Amino acid sequence: MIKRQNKKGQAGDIIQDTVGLIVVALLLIVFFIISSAFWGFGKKEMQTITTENILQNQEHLSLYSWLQKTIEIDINGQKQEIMMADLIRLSKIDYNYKETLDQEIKKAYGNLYDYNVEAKNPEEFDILSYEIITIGGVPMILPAVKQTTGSFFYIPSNETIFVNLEILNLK
Amino acid sequence: MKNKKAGIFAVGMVLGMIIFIGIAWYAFSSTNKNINSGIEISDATNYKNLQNTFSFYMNGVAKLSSTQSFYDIAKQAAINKENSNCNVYSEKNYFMWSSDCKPEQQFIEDLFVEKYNQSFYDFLQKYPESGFESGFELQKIEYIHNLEEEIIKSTAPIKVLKTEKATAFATYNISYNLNPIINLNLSEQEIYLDDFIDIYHTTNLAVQECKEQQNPEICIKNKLNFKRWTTKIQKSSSNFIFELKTNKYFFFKDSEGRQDFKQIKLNFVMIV
Repeated sequence: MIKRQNKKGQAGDIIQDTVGLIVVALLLIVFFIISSAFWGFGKKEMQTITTENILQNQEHLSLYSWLQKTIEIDINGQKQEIMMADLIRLSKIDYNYKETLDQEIKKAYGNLYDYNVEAKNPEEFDILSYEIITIGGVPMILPAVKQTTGSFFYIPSNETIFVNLEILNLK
Repeated sequence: MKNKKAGIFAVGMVLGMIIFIGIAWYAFSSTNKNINSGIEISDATNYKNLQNTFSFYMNGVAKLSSTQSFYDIAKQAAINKENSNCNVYSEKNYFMWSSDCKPEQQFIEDLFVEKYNQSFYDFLQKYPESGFESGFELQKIEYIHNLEEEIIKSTAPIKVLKTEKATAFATYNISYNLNPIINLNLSEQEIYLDDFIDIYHTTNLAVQECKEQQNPEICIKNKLNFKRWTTKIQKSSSNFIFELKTNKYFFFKDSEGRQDFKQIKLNFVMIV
């Protein structure tokens, strides 16, 4: 029995099959990488959210506890214990207590935090600003409400006092 | 031969696609779960922090309202101004205390709750809504105040806060039950409503015992020893003018509406 073989044709088939298999293998690798990347990014995103949450929560509780801390102050030669939140309110009434307040803030938060204590009317809390947002690859300037970052509390007074604490290295 | 190869190739392709779809599905569902749980943690923290911020503000409101109410009662010498037996001593513009016009327990307690409610409501309206708090309308919470012995209880129904979140994979609703109840112990603020009645009885007794003495002011002063008040006495014709002030400093809005931090004064004239 004589077999007639077209050697050139066989070589072509082998090359064609090999290239096909390589393409399939490459496609599988690419799909796998994309899937892993997709999966991996999800993990990273969750970790970022959780870390920010822990820090934000720690800051919030720290400020919450500090505002309730009591301090002894001198009022017309008489000692009286007041809460830190009351000292903040008092410093808005009598500017002489501002120095004591600044010292207490520095003692508690040093240079790690940026803090802000200001009296505002309720309508002044939402600040309308503008943000550049990309929609379908086209950058657009749109109005947006500027949100407060960091931890904050409000102290009731004639004008509501806003106390904001923001860790410096997160800015 | 060629058909066999094509068959193997097709099987390979199908297997490859099954593996790919499996991995892709697994990656998709895991990512969805991870992102959702991340957002849920974030929202739970935001709500808990909102509860702290609101409670802190409202506790401050309760304290300020209680001192404001105490100031308002002292300003009118703890008597019912509408009572026809109550008169004003024109020389000093002080209210005059007598057996027909004196501080009464029930009236003081009712007036305290009324003034407390006014101040509480004014401050509640000033609660700012910004950022995460927008749209929750916490200012519209309706409180009912009750004074039970030394504790003023401000109760309101639980406020359900709801938000809708949309992610790339899902849209879901989050709700949080905010408990707005506040209990304030007045004695911790050094506010004692009984003081007005004690002051009336003690000063009245001292005046009755000392009015015939040569130096009645000194005699009266020696008989008065209020723990939380300092006293000044003056004689004016047959009556005695009493000017008392608290040892403690309190926050309150004065008659011109300015926030102040001062001692609260109680001025009255005791009719002999």
